[in-house]
Amino acid sequence: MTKLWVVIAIVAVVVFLLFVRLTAYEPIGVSISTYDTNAFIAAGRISFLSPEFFTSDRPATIGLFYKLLEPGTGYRITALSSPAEDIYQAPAIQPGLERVAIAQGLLSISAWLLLAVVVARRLANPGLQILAVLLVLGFGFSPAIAEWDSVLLSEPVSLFFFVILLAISIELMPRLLTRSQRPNSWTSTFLVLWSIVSVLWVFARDTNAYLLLIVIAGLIAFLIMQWRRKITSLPNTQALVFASLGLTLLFLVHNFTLQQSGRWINPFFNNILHNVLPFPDRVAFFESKGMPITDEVWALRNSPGNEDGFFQIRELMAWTTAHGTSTYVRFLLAYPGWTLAKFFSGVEVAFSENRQPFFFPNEDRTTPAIQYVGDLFHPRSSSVIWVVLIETAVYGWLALRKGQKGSISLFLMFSALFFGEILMLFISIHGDALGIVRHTMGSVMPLRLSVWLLPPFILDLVSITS
Amino acid sequence: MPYLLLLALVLVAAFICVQISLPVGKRSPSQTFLLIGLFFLSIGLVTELVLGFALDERAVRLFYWARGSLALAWFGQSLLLFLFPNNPRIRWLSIAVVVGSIGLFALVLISRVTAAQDWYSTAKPIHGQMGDLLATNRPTRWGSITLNLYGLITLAAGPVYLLFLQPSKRDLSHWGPPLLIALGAIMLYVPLYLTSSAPSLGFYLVELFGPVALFAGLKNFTWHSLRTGGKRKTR
Repeated sequence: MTKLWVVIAIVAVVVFLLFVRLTAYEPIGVSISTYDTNAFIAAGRISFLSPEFFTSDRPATIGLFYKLLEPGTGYRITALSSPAEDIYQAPAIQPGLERVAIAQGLLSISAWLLLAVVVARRLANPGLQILAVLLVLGFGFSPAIAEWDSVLLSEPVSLFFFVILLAISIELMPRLLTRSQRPNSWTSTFLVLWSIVSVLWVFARDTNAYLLLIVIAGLIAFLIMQWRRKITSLPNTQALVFASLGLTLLFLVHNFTLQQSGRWINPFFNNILHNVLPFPDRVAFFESKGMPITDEVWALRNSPGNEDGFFQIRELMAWTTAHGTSTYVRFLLAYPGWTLAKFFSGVEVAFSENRQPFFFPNEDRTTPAIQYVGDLFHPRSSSVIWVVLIETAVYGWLALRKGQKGSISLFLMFSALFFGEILMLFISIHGDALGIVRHTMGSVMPLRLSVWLLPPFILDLVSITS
Repeated sequence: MPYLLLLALVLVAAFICVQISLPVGKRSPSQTFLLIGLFFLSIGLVTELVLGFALDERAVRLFYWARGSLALAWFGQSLLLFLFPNNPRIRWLSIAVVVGSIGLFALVLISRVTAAQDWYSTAKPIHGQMGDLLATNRPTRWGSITLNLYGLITLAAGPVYLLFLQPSKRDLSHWGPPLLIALGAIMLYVPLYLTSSAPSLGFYLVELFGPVALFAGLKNFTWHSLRTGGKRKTR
């Protein structure tokens, strides 16, 4: 039972940080559009029942989001930014789109509050409960997250779905993997919620699905353990088989719709432009795999990226659609040194920024002090990866040493999250040669969050025996 | 990598939470000194973070007092009280540490920030800039040095002394906590007298792992000794 003073302290922290969130940033409803916003609006106008809804050139969850929120009068873009072209406009109330901005803002705030409450619930030490709420909300309400809620892109939607998914996972994992908490109606409810949010999150950004591979690998490892030696604290074999098959199906469906959509083709051409065409040996590799590098293709080699010209070359498009992905994977395997070097340099780039680039914040509201604290919570250093690895290892070591099944289950979850994020980082860096910072945000943000999320869990374990 | 300072602060705050939640029966004077030492460390880290944003005279003074002078001494006294809980001389030393801390507070309060504030840099750690920044008089400086040396010597020598007395010296698990305590003490001591004010990875790692090593060492040491019935001198 949580003590009254702890509840009062947590409420005080929540009220204070909510005040900061609501006053230090653009008012909720104010937004800035990008060129992608038009594509989201178009995706939202496709019938939900038609296959094209899932194979349009934008992820299905974003299309659904815009579809559900579109007013009868439709959307009208009145404030647009394109940092690549040095076009900046101030965020504004955009007719129709203010509903999307309000939904993004409110869902984001609710998601962070949910995560803070769930983490506090999982901790036994009252002081650590307060500290955890402070850390989660301090992280979630800092400029690096809050400013994105005013940007009409897929990132903020993917982010709040991730936060909700993480909160449900923290609540669910100990229920599933400990004998003391047998499945009850709450567990079933959380399982259903987890499944729904997982699907929405996977279809919010294309790289998200790769986290599933790590979860599936974990489930298969559990299955092997169950098969070799009956472990009563694990879910039974049927449940594990069902979960593995379900998640594999989700991954395959996502992958199939992604391939059909063709939205991977532009990033593929960006990779060809930046990673292949400048290097004769790599050009030879792709030619040996049948890629038609004609004079038309060669004429575009100095393009900065996002080149529409490639789409007009019929021969190239036919080859890319049929062999593009598999050939690029073979290319990465054929050049392992370069693949790893590119990954490591990409990681440095991914962590080099922590703010949205689409508008300049109002410094009267987002004061330098708030920006300073935000920078502390969202470090621009890839050392975060090592810190999270060490924290996860320490947490696992303590959990195993103390035999706390609830903590062991959370350790497995944090481990899956860590390796999943690294895999997502790898896919994002090699998936598109342009926009690495924005594309890797979905994996960089959880890694930064883990830095602050793990210490309360670790010290809570220490606290149990002290 | 100033975020490591915030992480250090989060960890120290979490250590404080662990200490505060101890059952009343376990709140010995040793544990109380440890708790207050952690408070001093957290004040030091908070002021470091504040000074990383802008120069603030109160923050400079607080840093000099809490982190720059007292933290190590209070940790050292915590260890001494654990090793010799009933020794009247150690109790007198505790009173001396408390009186010294209060006296130093008064001395630090009257110290002024010098003209060096004009070239103060938020990008550099406060440790290396402190000497020029705060016009401390001789009693303040010597008080601070004495308390720090007292803490360092106690933390380095105390565990070694107990290990020497214990019969199972060959058991390697006995060596971990004392080594952590000594390492933590050195990590907390060395940055205070940095002459170079350039921030480096080493500086941030020391700031992060110093408190962790010291707390882990002190907690494990006391637990291990209690579990194995380690001989505590109770003269």
